Amino acid sequence: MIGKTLPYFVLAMISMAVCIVTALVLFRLPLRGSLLTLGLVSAVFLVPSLGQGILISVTMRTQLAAAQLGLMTGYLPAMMLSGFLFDIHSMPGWLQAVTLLIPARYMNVSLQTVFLAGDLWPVLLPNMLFMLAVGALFFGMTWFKLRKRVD
Amino acid sequence: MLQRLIAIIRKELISMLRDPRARMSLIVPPLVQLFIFSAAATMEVKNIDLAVVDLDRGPSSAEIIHRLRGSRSFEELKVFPSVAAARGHVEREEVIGILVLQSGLSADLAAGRQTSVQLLLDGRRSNAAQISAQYITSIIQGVGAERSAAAVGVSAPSPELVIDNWFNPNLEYQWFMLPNLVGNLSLGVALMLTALSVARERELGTFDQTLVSPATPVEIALGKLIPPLLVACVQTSLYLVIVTELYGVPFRGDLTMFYGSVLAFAAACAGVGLFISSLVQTQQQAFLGAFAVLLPFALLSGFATPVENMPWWLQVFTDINPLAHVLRLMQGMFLKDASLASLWHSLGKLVIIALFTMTGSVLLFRRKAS
Repeated sequence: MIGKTLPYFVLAMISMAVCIVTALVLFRLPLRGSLLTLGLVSAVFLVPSLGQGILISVTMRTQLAAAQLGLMTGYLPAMMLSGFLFDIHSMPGWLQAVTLLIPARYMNVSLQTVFLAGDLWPVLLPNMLFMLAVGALFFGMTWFKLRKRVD
Repeated sequence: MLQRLIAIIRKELISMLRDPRARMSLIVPPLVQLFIFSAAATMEVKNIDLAVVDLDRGPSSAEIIHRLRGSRSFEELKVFPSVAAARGHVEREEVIGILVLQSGLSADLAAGRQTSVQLLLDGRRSNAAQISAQYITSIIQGVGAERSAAAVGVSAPSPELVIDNWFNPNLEYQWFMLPNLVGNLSLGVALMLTALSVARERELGTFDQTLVSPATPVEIALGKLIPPLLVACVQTSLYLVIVTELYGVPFRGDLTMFYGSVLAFAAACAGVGLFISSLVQTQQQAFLGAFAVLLPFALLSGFATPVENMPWWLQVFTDINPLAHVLRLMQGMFLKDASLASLWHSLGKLVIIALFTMTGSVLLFRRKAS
């Protein structure tokens, strides 16, 4: 399970690095936190993301269905429900509860904080813990499914 | 020729709707997206808390706090003894900002002197911060004007700005968002269905069979383009009913123009989808290709961010983006009772784009098929 996700972890970190360099150089976004914190936050975000991916992969039978479900449950919520375009506090209560399960929500706050405010650990640590918790949930469900299948 | 075309259309419809999961995926995901995103997408500021540091403790600051509490913009007003005490709450996103009412505020206003207050906002949540700033500014200016007018003894009332919002009188954000969503979701369907069509046949191995049939490649291509148009019409009819009945958004346009726009839009998207489908080998590649096209179209269409704010080279791109045109048409028809005379510009561009993509994709298909 870990073997399958590790190469994608490396790929995703590289792609994250490209985006960060573009943001810093081309758009001149200020980085008021440290690069190390940025790297740490990115690595932590990849845990629930990869977990979600591998859970979908283990559940679906065809590649096409996996791709569809991955984009529906990964990309679209990350765009609409993570606080990226629309502020979460303005959403109705039940929808705010739904966003608690979306890792992108925590990543959004963490990135905004690291870039614009600095290394505010009282803000970053709880968000990272939530991300790890959601990641543990996904990996746990995957492990459970894999175990059942081998038996 | 017409008989062969109709036969191919029937075949496409059957293969599209045969799988029960495919039928489900045509109805359920778009509806779920419609409901969730209409709830999520809002530029209004609700349930937001504000921190206040009152160093003045005079009648003016009390009045400001009283009015802020009474307005429906802010959920809770938290009072702190100093900026340092409130700072942690801003960092943890518990409040949107800190309003600092410095000492001497009431005295200055009572004497009719020019004075100011300080508003510190969370720049990370820039949209909500800007809108909150507007709410707060109007309240503060109101209190300031009243207090200084009373002090100096001026009885002439200052001119009041009466704002009347055309087409969306109560500025209900959902009235803006739902017509947009109708356009967005139809884009996904038309594009996805055509993109998957040729690729699915290639995977199943029936593509060669179709080519050997009496129909010419052009007829086959048209036969693949038309069924998604029908599906798009049915889906948008469903959306129209839901949006007007369930959400109460008015529909002021006329139905022929509505369906005309939907057909032109679906044709433009179907053309792009068939183009993608002719280029790829597997359904998965087709899906990813369609999504890679869908995302820029959606983000750059004026759906969430106004087109006028974009740099000029992106605005040129939005001119060829069918979603941007259909959004303008939808808004015009839902909210404005716009006639053909005012909207022909967008509709015309949409038809041109549709013709362009459809001929392009049919030509590519013909080349790939021979």
